[in-house]
This record gives sequence, C-alpha cells and structure tokens, in this order.
Amino acid sequence: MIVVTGNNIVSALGFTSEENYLHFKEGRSGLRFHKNMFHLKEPMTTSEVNSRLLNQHFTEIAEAANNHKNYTHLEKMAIVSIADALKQSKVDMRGKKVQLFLSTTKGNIFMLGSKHSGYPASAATLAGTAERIASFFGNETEPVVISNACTSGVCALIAARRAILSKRIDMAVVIGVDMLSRFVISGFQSFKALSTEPCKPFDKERIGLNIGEAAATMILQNKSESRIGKNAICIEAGAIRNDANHISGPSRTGEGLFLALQSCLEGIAPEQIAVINAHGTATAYNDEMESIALTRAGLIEVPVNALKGYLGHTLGAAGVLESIITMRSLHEGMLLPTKGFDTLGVSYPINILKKAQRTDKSYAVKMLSGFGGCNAVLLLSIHHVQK
Amino acid sequence: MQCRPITFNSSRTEMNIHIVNSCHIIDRKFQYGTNELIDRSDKQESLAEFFSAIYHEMKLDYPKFFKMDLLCKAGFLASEALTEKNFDKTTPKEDMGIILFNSVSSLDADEKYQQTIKGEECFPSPALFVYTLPNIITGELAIRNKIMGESMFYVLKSYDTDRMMQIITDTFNNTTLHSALCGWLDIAHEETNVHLFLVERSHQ
Amino acid sequence: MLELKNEIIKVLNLEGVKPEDINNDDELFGKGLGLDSIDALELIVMLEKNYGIKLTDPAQGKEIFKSIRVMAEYVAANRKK
Repeated sequence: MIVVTGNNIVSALGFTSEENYLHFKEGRSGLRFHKNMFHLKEPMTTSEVNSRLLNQHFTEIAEAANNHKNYTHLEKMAIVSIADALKQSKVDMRGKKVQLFLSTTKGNIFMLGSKHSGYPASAATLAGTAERIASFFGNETEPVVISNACTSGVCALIAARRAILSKRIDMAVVIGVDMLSRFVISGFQSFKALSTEPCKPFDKERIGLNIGEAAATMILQNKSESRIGKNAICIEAGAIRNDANHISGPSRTGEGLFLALQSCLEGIAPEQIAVINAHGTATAYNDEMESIALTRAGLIEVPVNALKGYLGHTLGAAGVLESIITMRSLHEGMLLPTKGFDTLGVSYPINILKKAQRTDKSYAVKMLSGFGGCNAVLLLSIHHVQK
Repeated sequence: MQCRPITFNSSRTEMNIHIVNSCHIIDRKFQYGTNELIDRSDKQESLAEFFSAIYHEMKLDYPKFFKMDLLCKAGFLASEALTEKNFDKTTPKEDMGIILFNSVSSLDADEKYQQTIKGEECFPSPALFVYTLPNIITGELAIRNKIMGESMFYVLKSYDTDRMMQIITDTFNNTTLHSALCGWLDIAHEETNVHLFLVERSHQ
Repeated sequence: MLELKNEIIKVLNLEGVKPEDINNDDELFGKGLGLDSIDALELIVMLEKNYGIKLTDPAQGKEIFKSIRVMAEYVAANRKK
C-alpha cells in the first residue's frame, strides 16, 4: 500500500504542516491585500511566504549541509519543505531508489524578465530546478517534473504512486511549489479571474480567485498492510480525465471531472467518504462545474469543503498542500469549514461545510481542475487498525 | 537544439504497447506515416510560416489553429498526421489518453507573453497567457479529437525514450487506456524537435 | 468600421478572414465569427490599448461586442486616444 510517511507545508501560515493546520483550524487566513505588487496597476489579495523567516530556516539547513550555493526563493521554499518532511519519514534521499517528483506550473519564471538574476541558467528550466532541489539532498536520480496546470499536485502524487508500484523506486518525494510573480499575476488579471478581496468558494457573491505561494511535500513509500502504522494515510487511487471542451474554461457539464470521480471512486460508496475537498477556486464557472460533476457522480450528500479561502490558489503546490490538510482532518476526525463561504451560489445543493464537523469515516477525496481541460481526483484513506 | 533520430523501440518494452503510427518534425522537415515527407528546409521561412505551409499542404480546416502558439501548432499538425486515416474525431473516447513530454516547457509562449508585460504601461495578453502552460497542447488535442482519458505533461531534462517509455508504461499499467498520443515536443527559438506517436495497448 | 475590422482580424489571429467577410451587423460571438471567451478578453485589452477605453466590468463586453456596428459606435463615443 502506498503510504504517506512524511509531509510538510511552507506557506504564509507557517513552515510546518502543524503550524499551518493550527491556523486553518482557528480560521486564520494568510491572504493579504496589496496595492502595486510587482508594479501592477490593479490591487490584489495574495498570500506570501515571509522571506525573512524563509531565509532563516533555509540558512540553518544549508549550513548544516555545508551548501553555499545561491538558491531562488522558490527553491528555498521547496528545500525547507522537503527537509522537514524527510525528518518525519527518515528517508535517506541519497538512496538510488528514491526519486523526486516536482509539481509546478511556472517554476522560476521570474528569471525570464530579469537579465542578470544572479542564478545559473539551469534554474530557469523546470527540469534544472528539480535537479537543483534533488541534488541539494544528495539525490542523483533524475527527477520528474509534472506541469499539468492547476492539477499538477494531484497528478504528481498519482505519477509517484505508479512509479513505486512499478518497483523502479521505493520512495517518492513529491514536492509541489509555485511562487508569486508579475508574470503569473498579470496573466490571471488579464483573464479577469482574480478577486481583489479574499475569495468566496461556492458562494453566491464569489467573483474570482486569489493567488498564493507555497511549497508542500508528501513522501510516499510502499508498505505491506501488516507494517502500516495506526492512522497512517494511504493513497488508494487516482484518476485524471480531460473535458475535451475548452482550453481555459471548464466543461459546462463537468464532463472530465465526473469521469475522473467515477473512475477514482469505483467500489467506494458515498457514505464511506468523510469529505471531498473541492478545487473551489471561487470563479463563477469552476465552482458551478464542480457542483454539477459531484451531483452527476451521486455525491450530493457527501460533505464538501474548499480551502482556498485560507491561502488562495497555490497553483503547483495546491494539490499536495490541500491533500495534507485533508489528511490531517482525517487524523483528527474533524472536517474544516470552507472559509469565505456563506450562501450557496451554485445550481446544485451540494453539502458545503460552513462549520467544522466531526467525522469517523475513513476516506477522503481531493479534486482539482485546471487549464487545458484537465481534471484530477485522488482518494486518500486512513488506516484504522482493526481490532 | 539537438535533433536525434528515432530510437523508440517498442519491442524493448516490458509492457504490451505498440506504436501504430509516428510523426517527426525536425526543424523544417515534416515526416509521417510510412513514407510521407514535407521538406521545406530550402525555404527561408519562420517556424510560424512553416507550420502554416504544412497546414495548407495537409488541406486542414480548423481555424482555431491560427490562434495557437508554436508548441500547440506543432503538436496539432503532428497529431493530424497520426489521425489522418480511419480516426473518429467526434465520439468521446475515455479510453484514449495524451502523454506528452519536453525539456523547454512553454518557453516560446512564455517569451512572447513576457513581451506584453514589459514596462510600466503594460497590456498583458490573455490570448498569449493561456499558452504559457505546456499542458495546453494536451487540451487542444483533446478538444480536436474528443480524447477524454488521462492527459499529462511531463518536463524532463532531455529527450530520453527510456524514461518516457517508463512513464507511458506506468500509465497503461495503472489505467484502462486502450490508446494514447504520446511523444516529445521541444519548440524554442525557431527550432523544433518533435516526435509524436499513436500507441495502442497490445492484446496477447 | 473598416479600421476596427482590420484590428480585430489582426489581434485575434483570424487567418483567412478578410474585412469584406465580416458584415457590420453580424453577431461576433456565437454564430457569426464564432469568437470565444478568450477572444472577448483580448478585445477588452484592445479597447484599452488602442482607444484608451477601460471597462470596469468585463460583463459589459457582452453588450459592446454584439456586432461591428455596436462596437464601432461605442468606440466612437468613448475613445480617449
């Protein structure tokens, strides 16, 4: 069984999963309003990793590793995140059967606009960035980069799981990371997809998304059923499907997401699912599409939450980050409410969580949809040891 | 940019998939099927002009082609060559996937979009921004051919058929895909290195 | 209106479409030219870049881009450049 043996979140809400989860539980958001960020005319609400604290954390790790190379903000986020996750899993990244899977949409894209950034050319490519991160930890297996728009995080977890099942590798370090940049934010602004206020997933008054930056790591290993610890989280299944409808807008019938849900949840009854963590970007079309797909898949009663009201849409990190928070919910038996949600604003009465809610069920679902018509669904389970 | 010959050897795979058809675009040569070759190496034309010429020579009728960035145009033309004969473009196919790779991601589109955000007074272009994700090509191919199975885009260090085959094999081993458009598409600075294949699961 | 047609053809990469092919009262979106949501966003950018017209609400686009004639009238009435 593919088990999560280590995890970490680096974001505006902290540098460990625990720190982040505590803030989520207490309803705190890492989103802040900015005028003139990146010299862009329009104001925005984003979540940002504290540079000073990040550098402090990073310097500690770099000095211990005797590594004095110059790493970008994004690479530091990833390295700090992986280092913390490794502590929990006790994986030696120098092992030949350990591989890094990087999920990112634009990597170090800021380098495109700055001729003399001070970083080597390899950092400007996604594969180069992945290699720089892997080699920081002494890992020499060529990493894999998944760049599948907003669904990258879940897609990377699925790809890593398959690589372990193939027995080519024993352990996968899945890192999802993206940083704020003029490139990305200006682009979303040109799409009129952003809200200048904190976002309101599934709400009647929703007007768009917020962008956040974060790094999130999940370490996956294959363990036999007898060796899985109590309350271990397993990645049971995953499915990816394409809407085949439009390159940036979601299918009006939720086609791809419906097919992905159907495939991933085969053999699982809705009553067994503790929570479905939706993509919930708070755009008019995405949230509506998700409500349609969930209803078509017979999941209208299952508790649904969306977490982008806490940190915004963290792009390449989102799938991993939101899966970790969902995982922790399963551990605690407590489901988090959808921050920013007040009144249902989608066509189908899906069960959006407005308040925290207890659960004793064993399965959780993570859904994502993205540009390119891609939809990805992941099924997580918590291993309750049988008496 | 290095142009490598095809070394995609399906008989070496531990997995039961086989190549049905292939298309290669290396700089200004467009080669597909058993013997079809369009060679425009002697013409002094830009990549965009080259792709337009191929589009017209193949007598295609898909106006959206002209909105695409160069990566998508390359993938589109190659996939049209692969699906030229006896391919149903209208029936939704959940058992068909798209698994693509490259080393430069969406570099060409990135550079073009970057031009629209230079300077204080900038006008970011949504039509250019949308192509600054490498997986948009999977979306374009899915829309054109009604492919609804798994679509993925991987970025690797270099054109490495062994690694590509490992990932494609993993995908087929863990899904119910019957077929897929797979391959490598590097487009940067007016050079191309594109190898696209239509693969199918073999039934023993 | 000819100037507008040429601009639209250029900005939206409408290959093979000539100004003569576009009727002044044809629907631009839907059946007419078959433009989509990304084209609408691109036209909003064009309005600002070429004519200094900034739309406060992108939903206004639906009305303004109804046809070439409607668009031209709007531009004539509101242009700052």
